[in-house]
Amino acid sequence: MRHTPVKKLLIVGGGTAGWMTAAALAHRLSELNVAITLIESEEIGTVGVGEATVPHIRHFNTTLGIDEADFMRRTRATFKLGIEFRNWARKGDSYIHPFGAFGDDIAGVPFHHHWARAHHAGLSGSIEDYSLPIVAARANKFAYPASDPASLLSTYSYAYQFDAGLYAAYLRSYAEARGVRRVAGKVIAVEQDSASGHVSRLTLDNGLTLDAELFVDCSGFKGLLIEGALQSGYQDWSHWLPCDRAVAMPCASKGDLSPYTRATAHEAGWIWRIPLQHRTGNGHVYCSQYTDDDTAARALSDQLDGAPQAEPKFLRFQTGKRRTQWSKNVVAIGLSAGFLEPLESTSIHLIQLGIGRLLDFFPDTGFDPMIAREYNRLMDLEYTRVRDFLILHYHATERDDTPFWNYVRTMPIPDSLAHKMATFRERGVVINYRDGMFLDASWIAVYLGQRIVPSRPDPRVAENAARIALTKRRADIAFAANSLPMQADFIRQIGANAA
Amino acid sequence: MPLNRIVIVGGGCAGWLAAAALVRSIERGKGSVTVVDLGGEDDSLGVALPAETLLPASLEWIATLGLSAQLLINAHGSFTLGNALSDWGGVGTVFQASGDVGAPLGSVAFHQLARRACGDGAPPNFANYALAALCAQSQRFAPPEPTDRSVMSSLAYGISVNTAALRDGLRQDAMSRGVEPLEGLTLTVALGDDQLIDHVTLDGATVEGDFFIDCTGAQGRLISLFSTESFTGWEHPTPVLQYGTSLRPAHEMPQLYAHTATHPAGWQRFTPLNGAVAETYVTDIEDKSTTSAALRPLITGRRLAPWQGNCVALGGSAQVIDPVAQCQLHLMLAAVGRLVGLLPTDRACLAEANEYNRQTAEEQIRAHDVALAHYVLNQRHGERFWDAARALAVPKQLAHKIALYAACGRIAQYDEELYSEQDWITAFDALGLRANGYDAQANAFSVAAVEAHFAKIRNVMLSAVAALPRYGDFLGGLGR
Repeated sequence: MRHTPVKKLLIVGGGTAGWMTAAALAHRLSELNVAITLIESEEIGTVGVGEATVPHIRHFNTTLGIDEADFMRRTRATFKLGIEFRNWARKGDSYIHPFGAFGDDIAGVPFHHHWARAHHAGLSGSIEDYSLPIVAARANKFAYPASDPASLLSTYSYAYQFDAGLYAAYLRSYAEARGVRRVAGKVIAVEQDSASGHVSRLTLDNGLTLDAELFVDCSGFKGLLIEGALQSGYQDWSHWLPCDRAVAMPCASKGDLSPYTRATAHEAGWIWRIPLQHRTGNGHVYCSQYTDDDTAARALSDQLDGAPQAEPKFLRFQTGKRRTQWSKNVVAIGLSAGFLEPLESTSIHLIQLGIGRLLDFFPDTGFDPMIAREYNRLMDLEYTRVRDFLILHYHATERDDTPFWNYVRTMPIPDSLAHKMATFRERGVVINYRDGMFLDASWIAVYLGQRIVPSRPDPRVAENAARIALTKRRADIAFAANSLPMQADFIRQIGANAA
Repeated sequence: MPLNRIVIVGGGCAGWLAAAALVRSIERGKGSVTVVDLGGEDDSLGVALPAETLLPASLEWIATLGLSAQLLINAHGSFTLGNALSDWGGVGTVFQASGDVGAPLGSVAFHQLARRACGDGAPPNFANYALAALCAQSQRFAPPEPTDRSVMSSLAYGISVNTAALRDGLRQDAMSRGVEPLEGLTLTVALGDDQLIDHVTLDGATVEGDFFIDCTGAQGRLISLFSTESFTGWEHPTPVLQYGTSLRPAHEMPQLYAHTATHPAGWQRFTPLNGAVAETYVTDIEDKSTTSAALRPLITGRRLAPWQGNCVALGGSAQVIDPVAQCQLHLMLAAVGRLVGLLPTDRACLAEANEYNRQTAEEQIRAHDVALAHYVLNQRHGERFWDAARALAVPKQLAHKIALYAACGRIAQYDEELYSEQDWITAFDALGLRANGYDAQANAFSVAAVEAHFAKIRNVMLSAVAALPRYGDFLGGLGR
């Protein structure tokens, strides 16, 4: 190798992104003698992106050797089998996007074609009856999936809902125990190499200066290094995802503990509900063009399960992504890389992907530009495909009751999504790409939930040929769901409940 | 309403393959498949070659389409475990093995470890750590049992077949399932006012259908009637070549690999079959030195949107790719598989056609990349043909793939790739492309630890291979 290895790495910003990065790098680079320092400012608050996750988070935790019960106790976590969407296609609608497929192929034809054919004949009932995680979630039940692929109990996966602040704190202790040095302070100056433009040194408000070879920018929306110093530029997607504000307000829990997140469409946005062990997280994502902060906060407090536990906290954002997430010797991870609203709990996953790819392409001090180019190509694909999936939720609606819904229903959408939607609507085919986190099952769940039912299912599906298979699967799922414990009991049973 | 009558025009390997696959997807008694066989030379897959090779991924398509692997064995099929490449990326012969090479250590890939261990010296020969190469070398082979959990389960193999024998087998198979063959010489196509094919006539007799499949090779007798679709050359073409083929009987046990060797103005490939060896010879179109074989121009290119209205072009009528990529039967299988998944239900099925054409375009470009990489990466210096080949213009995505590998040994994969990540690594290595940098995490292992890991892999593989039957015995057993 012509260039020396990276020996000093600086992470700018704590919070979920910063501490996830610190923990993963400390673990995976432990043999390479890389000194990792994280700069965190006490006066700059963290946003605490997404308290809900997708199943990939388990891979992240497992790789780090994290004990699940311990982690759940310390982050007040609950299990998550999917997301319920209320009032999206029409007011009064409800569907769950589950972590699992609806059914196996029958005679080489994907399950949903069989369902659609039966549906057109008025026979099949709701698609939800064919998904174990949905039926279990609606009954507030949970148990671990089975490892035997022949078992119906193996047809789902799960994620967590947790307190993101506690998760960051948990990973902080993990990272510090593995040698990550934490420096408190606020960056007041960024020095760049005059020839290469690479970031070389940071000065903090307490007078400290820190230099490094590689910088990870986890400084949030402002992108202190990636934008502040390197001016990577921002690709604005707010014409497709127009929400630009959020207000958050936790409240006391009430009733059975739900193993799913809820996203309820509202007049100019949507309201999230994330049940944790000790409280329920709530927030309202809205569009400032169609409503104001007070109205949005009132709408949120009207929907709380129990007494509010904090004053409303307001956030502003612009949906989109950084044009280059890796520029020179700076890699942006988290909100500094882009913001896509948390409708599908993708924020933490995109952090995880950035970390994974940074490790895959971990540079040496030569910083071959090909590496950054490939990293950016792959991350652009991920962001773009998540973006399309999010737009689908808004655009595939029949709602015409507010100016907001009229806008998203009629706005021009990206060609890539228009083609995807047309192909499913007409022929039930889910378009698949090599990269992109959401697979067929997710697209099918949201298409059907948003009332896009294929008008012409696969011609290989004979009328009624799968009637018996469909009936049997429904009965099996109802039986299997019934046999599962209540989530709250299960959490106690595995010792994951906070004392 | 489903399209009940499918008419396939072209009775070559492509047409009969489409017929055998489609007849399985149609409910008995509810539709018909007709093959209009115009006779003549079979260039339905693209270039008329006496032998075709099914890649490991092609065998998955054979299974998905419900076709029997016995059809391949019966077509003088012989298993193949890779390619011996002579004088491409440097002097000498390099074995390009199919399937895995070595095994990772932790999360670090084998080729990254190899790059780390060799320092600035010569990298290890991948073939010493590839199961397929070791089998080929010792002439031992048996496909792994599905229940096998040993290292043998990773063995990836393809099958080379006699094209004409495969066509005959597919015809017999399709006809036994009720496909109706019509033979004739003169074809006319009647387009309706709606710009869809209304019917075709064969020697004056009307053949009616709802959906038409063009398997007439690059001529595209049906698809070329659609004004929007013409056969166009590649934007970044491979060299302009002429080619000749031969098939000669062979009585010795077939080799478990093809041999592809360059010569000063082109290359030749020997593909062993059961009882024969097929040769493909290609040379610069300007080359006048060869008079022994009848050479003819090799015209490559593609159609941008091979599904138009109620007509889809499959095989050579959709694309002709330089045969160095060895993929035309594979692309045909993938195309039929795609068509079955998007089987039309209506005479004007735009959604299906749009998606079919999108995937096909990606796939064509990716397969063409494979062909192009062979030429641009060559290391034969001082020869007009090869110097020009090295200087060929390369599309942006292939250029990125090559530059990224050269930088750090990583593969940039796109949608609808012909080659898997490992296939690209193996090919780049065999073509002499070396990575400058490597995965930093490889540094977590000492050179001694890497070497011990390599020795262990090789030992495990060698003892697994030693337990396999001799290929001749295995092949003989199949015939009985």
